[in-house]
Amino acid sequence: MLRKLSFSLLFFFFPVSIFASHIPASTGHVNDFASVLTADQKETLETNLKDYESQTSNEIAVLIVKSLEDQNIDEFGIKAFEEWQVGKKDKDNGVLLTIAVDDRKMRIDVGYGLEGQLTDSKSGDIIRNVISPEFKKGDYNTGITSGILAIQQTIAGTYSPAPATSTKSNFSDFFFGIIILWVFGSFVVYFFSFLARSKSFWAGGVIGAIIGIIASSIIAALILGLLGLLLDWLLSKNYQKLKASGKKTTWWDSGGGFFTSGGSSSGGGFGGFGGGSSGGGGSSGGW
Amino acid sequence: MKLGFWKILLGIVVVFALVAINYYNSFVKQTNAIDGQWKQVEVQYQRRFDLIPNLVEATKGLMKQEQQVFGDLAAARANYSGAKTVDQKASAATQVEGALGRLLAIFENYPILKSDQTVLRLQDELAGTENRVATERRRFNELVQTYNTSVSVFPSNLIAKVLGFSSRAYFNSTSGSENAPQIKF
Repeated sequence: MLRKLSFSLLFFFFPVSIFASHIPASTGHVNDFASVLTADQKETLETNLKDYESQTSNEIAVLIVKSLEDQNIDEFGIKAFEEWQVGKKDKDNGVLLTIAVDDRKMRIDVGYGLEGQLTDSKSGDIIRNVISPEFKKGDYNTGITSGILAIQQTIAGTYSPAPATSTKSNFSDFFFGIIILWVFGSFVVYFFSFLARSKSFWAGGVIGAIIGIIASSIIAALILGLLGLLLDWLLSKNYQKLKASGKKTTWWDSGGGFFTSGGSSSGGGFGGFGGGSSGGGGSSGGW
Repeated sequence: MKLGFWKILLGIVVVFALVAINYYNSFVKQTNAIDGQWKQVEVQYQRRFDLIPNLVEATKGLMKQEQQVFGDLAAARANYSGAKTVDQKASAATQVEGALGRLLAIFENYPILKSDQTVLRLQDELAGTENRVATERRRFNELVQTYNTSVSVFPSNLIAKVLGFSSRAYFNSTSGSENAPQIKF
């Protein structure tokens, strides 16, 4: 009963922010919400952009909408860029090509990291001289494809790491993360056993509250305090139970505290972009 | 019994102190973020400031009669480089925007500029800069809004008053610059 109560408290206290936004969620590098490209064309382009990303780590995204719904293409483009966070977080190497079909407007937004190569005037040139002529003919696929090619050539692979070093740095990051996780995990196990062995359960509550305050939130302090109390109570109970029935109380034998093992769901499909940001650079145009 | 009472009182005092520290740190972080963001706005003003001579060079030869407008623009630029405080800079930037807008409006009368690649590229750069200015201003206002909310809602408004934190001013476009300079034909 206590467990049920604390779950409902959880939902009551946690602030849930609901974003009302006109920007649809990204489904891949190519996001055609106006259906101007065929499935084959989308796939070809998606493969192109995926390969480009693995070779150079630059993220290029395409967003095609039917209408801007009275929004300005400049504001719309930068908003989409900010929501999707195109580009790697540490490099800000993202490019977003936004096309509004009914409004006949398009925009190239450039992340901070690529502004040096893909300048505003070069973006403008690409829009005017490469993409716009094709769009005027009604040929969206050629326009987009040649535009992407021009963008890639303009950037010309400055962020392209040599394959060997890139895998090495990925691996060492991964390895480091595993070590940190292991150290943290051991600490957590030791901490839980400390909480369990004490019959009283206020310690968990106090520590939860302190963590919450450090995390700068009264709400977090309250909820973590409650969770801490609950956790300590459950752990203490479990410990008493095991001790009373004469079973072993070490971590492994008690089944890892009171955790039940659950399955993990594997993620399929697109995982989103890399967290990059832009300052509003790029260029707009029409046809 | 007596000892228990003092322990509880101490506990309450400690909790209050922690809460106050928590709020103070949050206010400080937010005001620092706002100041930092204003610097970003000024960076973009500077970028626009630096682009203008190029535009003038490229177009002056083609628009020989427009001495008045070029003169205004030069004066506005000089004013901006002389501005020291944040308020002076903000109003000087507005003056530059006005003069630049007038120059770009006159471009309409010179069709030859539409086919000049140099001018078109400069317009791209200027448009990009205007967009950057708008983006940084928007981010500034968003930070100010969050901060103003946090010092206004209950109960943090009481604590804010005690600690000396008050609302900050938004960036408001002054009259005459509501219409950003129309860069493109």
